[in-house]
Amino acid sequence: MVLLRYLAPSSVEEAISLLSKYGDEAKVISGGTDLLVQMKHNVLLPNCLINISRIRDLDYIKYDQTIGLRIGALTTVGYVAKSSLIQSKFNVLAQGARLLGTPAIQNQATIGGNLCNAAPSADIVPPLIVLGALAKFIGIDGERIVPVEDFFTGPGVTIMKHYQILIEIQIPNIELHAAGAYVKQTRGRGPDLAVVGVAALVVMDRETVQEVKIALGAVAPTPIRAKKAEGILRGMKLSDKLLEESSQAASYESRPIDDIRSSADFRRKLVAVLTKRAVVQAVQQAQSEA
Amino acid sequence: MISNGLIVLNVNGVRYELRPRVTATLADVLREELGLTGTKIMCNEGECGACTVLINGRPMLSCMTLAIDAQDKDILTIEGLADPVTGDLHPIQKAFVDHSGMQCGVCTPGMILTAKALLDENPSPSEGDVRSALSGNLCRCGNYRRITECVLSAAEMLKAGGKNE
Amino acid sequence: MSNEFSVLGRGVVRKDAVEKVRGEAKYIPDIQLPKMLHAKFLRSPHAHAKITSIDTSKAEKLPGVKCVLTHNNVPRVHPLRKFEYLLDETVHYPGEEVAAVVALTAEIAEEALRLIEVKYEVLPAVFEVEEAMKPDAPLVHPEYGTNIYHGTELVRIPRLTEDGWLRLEVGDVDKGFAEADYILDRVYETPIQHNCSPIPRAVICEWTGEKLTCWADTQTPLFLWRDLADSLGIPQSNVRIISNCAAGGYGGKTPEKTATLTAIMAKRTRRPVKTSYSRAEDFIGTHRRISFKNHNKIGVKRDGTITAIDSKIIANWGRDTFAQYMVQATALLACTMLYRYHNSKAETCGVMTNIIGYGPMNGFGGPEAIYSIEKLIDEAAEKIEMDPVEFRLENCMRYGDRAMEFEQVVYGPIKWGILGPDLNSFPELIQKCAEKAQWKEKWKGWRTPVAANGPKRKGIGVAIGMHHCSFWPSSAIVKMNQDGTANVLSMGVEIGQGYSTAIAQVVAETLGIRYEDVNPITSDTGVAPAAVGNVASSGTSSLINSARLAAEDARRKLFELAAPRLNATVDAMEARNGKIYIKGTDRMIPIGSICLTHWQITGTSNNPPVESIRDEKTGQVIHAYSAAVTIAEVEVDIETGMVDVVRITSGHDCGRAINPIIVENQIDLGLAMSKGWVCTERFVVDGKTGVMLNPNLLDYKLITFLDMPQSEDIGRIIVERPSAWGPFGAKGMSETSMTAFAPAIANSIYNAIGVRIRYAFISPEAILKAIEKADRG
Repeated sequence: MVLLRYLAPSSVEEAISLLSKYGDEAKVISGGTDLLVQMKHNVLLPNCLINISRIRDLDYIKYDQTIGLRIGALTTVGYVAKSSLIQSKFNVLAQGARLLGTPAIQNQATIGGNLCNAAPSADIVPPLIVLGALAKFIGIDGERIVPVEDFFTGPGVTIMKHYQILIEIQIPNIELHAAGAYVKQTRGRGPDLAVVGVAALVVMDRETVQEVKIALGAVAPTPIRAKKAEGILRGMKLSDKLLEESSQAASYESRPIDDIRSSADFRRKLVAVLTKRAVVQAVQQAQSEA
Repeated sequence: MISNGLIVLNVNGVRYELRPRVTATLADVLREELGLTGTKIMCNEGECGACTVLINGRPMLSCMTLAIDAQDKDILTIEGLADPVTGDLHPIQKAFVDHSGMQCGVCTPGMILTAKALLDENPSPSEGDVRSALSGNLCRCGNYRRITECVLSAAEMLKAGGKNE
Repeated sequence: MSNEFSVLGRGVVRKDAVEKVRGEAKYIPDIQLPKMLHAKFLRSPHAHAKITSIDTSKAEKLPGVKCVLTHNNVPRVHPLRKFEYLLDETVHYPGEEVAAVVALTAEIAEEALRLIEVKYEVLPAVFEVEEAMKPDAPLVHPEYGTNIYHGTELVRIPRLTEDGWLRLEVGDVDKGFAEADYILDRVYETPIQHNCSPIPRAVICEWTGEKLTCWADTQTPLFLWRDLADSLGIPQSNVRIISNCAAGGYGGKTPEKTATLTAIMAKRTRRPVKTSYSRAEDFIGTHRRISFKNHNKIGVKRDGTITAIDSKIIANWGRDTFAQYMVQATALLACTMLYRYHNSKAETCGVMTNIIGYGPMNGFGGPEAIYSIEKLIDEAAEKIEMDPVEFRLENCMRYGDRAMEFEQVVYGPIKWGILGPDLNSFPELIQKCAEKAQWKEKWKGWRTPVAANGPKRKGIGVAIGMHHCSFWPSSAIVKMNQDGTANVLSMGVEIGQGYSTAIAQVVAETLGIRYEDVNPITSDTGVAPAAVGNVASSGTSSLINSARLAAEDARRKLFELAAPRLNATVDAMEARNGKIYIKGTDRMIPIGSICLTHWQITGTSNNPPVESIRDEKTGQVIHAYSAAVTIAEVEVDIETGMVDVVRITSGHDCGRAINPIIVENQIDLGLAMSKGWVCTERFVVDGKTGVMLNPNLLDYKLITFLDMPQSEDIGRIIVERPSAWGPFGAKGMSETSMTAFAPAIANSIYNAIGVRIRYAFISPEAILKAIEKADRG
């Protein structure tokens, strides 16, 4: 790895200023677990590395009455997984975080870094999507807040410009009787990226699915909502037949590719299986809490 | 900073002043500059856990940590686990010795340190807790069952009054 | 376990335990020498190409670069008698070395590689055996004229036919098939697996005058020693190989020509040079397990008799190998032994292709053959509706059945010997395993899973396996120190399998001193007498046996020196607890007091020849084999294809367990490696370019904690029936432990889902595909 410049801002303001100056030739590093791999393989050789991990006050999990849950971008995935606040109110996110990488990786990887790496298979993204999460980022031209669902434009690419930095994830308050589940297929039982990942969030009114959100990971250039699958269930009384139809719809909405990890065909089949399982788990959770 | 600036690392309670390459990982520096070769490199890309060290008490991958980013943190490597005065093995090390927790030994330092972090947080882990906590540490020799036995035995030893420092 | 011994049979603390837990064990990448340089290799991106030009001038000028090697400036020799040269102007597989650079740091060497300009003329290449066997196939080595290996001037394979087949035949298979009630004819493939040693290939070379020291991560110092001397044109007496810093080879660890090239760079720069591969390089630049396409045919009668078995194995060699036909010879024996066949035939040919070559890996052809045979046996048992455990119990080999050394298959003559009385352990293992696994309660019959619950199916399956334990020329030295402690000097290599512990136990037991007082000094050709190293399961049988004989020699010398002081004859003495006693009395003399004044006491030995180990009853030569039985229980999710091994019960016969903890650890290794081999370790080769697409641990998935059954669900049974060979009757069992796990898992999956998976690799996707295909009818 050959690097010309290394910068370590200690505040968001300093980071913004550096990014506006060097942003187009720089890469931002926080936990380093994705970036270092890419740099070691010479896939990515930035001229400049901006290490934001020393910025204080970007590492928090707080609850705000108006906004909802606010997670600082430098909060580690491990803290997200273990947070009792997240486990109690937004458990689907804790599930995704718990299944990300290995325990050591979770100690280093940040939620912001994971989002900015924009892997289609990122485990925390489908949960964030079904939770209606928002990404707040900031640059020299001010701040923007965008739904996580719209944050990604392609594999490894976000809508952020080179001079912007992600600072917070917001999750709006959710219904009392909402529950979610994240289910993932891996190649063995050990830690692994998702061959397919599905998150589901439901709000139940007894047997009726009042609201449902389904998000798919690793089966399209970005994580996606399965809106048609949702539409089949929304407002309906849950039945095996509807579940089957919804899962199949999710499968058709997915656009997986063949790669060395899996074939597109297998992924498509798994989307159906995992969508059904995620919805069933979410429903069971919602009903048990009610 | 552009060229090799001075950094200070706290490793096993000792303060080191170094001028590593900016892109040097903590694993590189521990091994090449400080001669602490107990931290092993098996894949060098964060997939195997062999290079695990404890940073502020938490297991992290030294091959995925820039040395420059390890400043102002307490780093514990395998060499720092035994008693610094008497040289006595830490109870976890002793458990691995007594119960043959190693075959080729390359994963051993990472396993022991990850186990230490587990037992610091959870002094009475179940087998499931041990398997989960160590799930990111690969053992090509397949010694998983024996390693689990060692960690559970170490937990007993520590509860019975062995020191976990 | 045995309790008649003081050290043997005990799970003593390993000799290498303390240094490994302290982080003080030094592997090759940990070794730093003053003024050491670092070497890196440039590798071909093409499967087959001629280097039309190679310009290293820019690389040479980079500050910090000390030397650059290409085919233009290295000797034109064939390392390990392979086809390949040290560096060649033609490359034969993606990843082959094209140039080497040595520099002050690894980073500078890497940068220099980028400055080397190579022009290639790409040539046609072939990757699959069927393609490679066609008459108009592109040739991996055009000058050889064919892709089917049939030996060279340097390598003679006496029993290979002119058209490249190695055959083994007993009885008359045609007659046997004619007598059968059913004939099953199947094709099975076995997956590639990579050794994936925890330490990627590494070697350090340093010259002192005309003498070379090579710190090599190798299991076979003997081969490397000779090869280095030959390739460099220097006497072996000037070459010292130190490999007591090896780690996890699983059969195939040796630096091959990387050592020679490193030595050349060290000589040219007159500085120590370290070559330390990256993980990716280890995947593409070393070798891997052989892969087979097996055509197996079996004839069986309704009463459970096997009337004939016929196997044809086509091996994908890749570009070259130093193991030549040894691995395939082992496979032929696995196809014609294991069961009591009266009529059996097996033949194999090795086909070269433009992918990474194969080398030895845990099992050495045995697991690869048995993975197919045991699935075929299962199918045969099903055909006659016989319980698969019963079928195996009836037909498995026993004492007195014919056996042979694998080398005889290659070199001849074909002189069958027999299995010793210890192999009556086989039926015992099957019975004990079945009992512990609760086979009778769980087996519900063919095509009936053990349990079905929603999408989950539980299945149970059985398989057996065998492997030879080679008795090769080996010698050892036991030297007594002045304080009565001892060192044993042996060429064996501690790669993690417990070698240094076991050898110390045997020597301590024989000498009658404490285990703590024996320190093995291993795998240093400057110190230890010659032996091959640890391959072919010869570590226990051969190397440790020679250590036992050396200890007996030392003990006899001690007794002779004690005789005048105790006023007794040698026959009246025994040694225990560090003292020499007159038997039946308390009169003794400490061993230390003899050694204090006689510091020259050294015991030496050589193993006796193979032919000398004969059966008492029949006078026939006994060949050492060990046996294994596995019963696996799996749970398959038929919607996701995920397979969990929920319970495993395995029985192993090791003659005598020198250290039961170490034996158990090696059993666990067999389980993890077998499950990885057939379920998770997918070695992906691009069908168009021959390039390995997943040279990393993210996508080449090793077994983790979570892939193993819970501790209480791993049942291990060790049966001890002392062998006519080996120290105190002990046999090597590590490779045997690799033979039965994989087919047991495959057979239990069949029981769970009712569909036979004939693909080599049982991934979740393969499971779903097979179920789908069966549903479609």
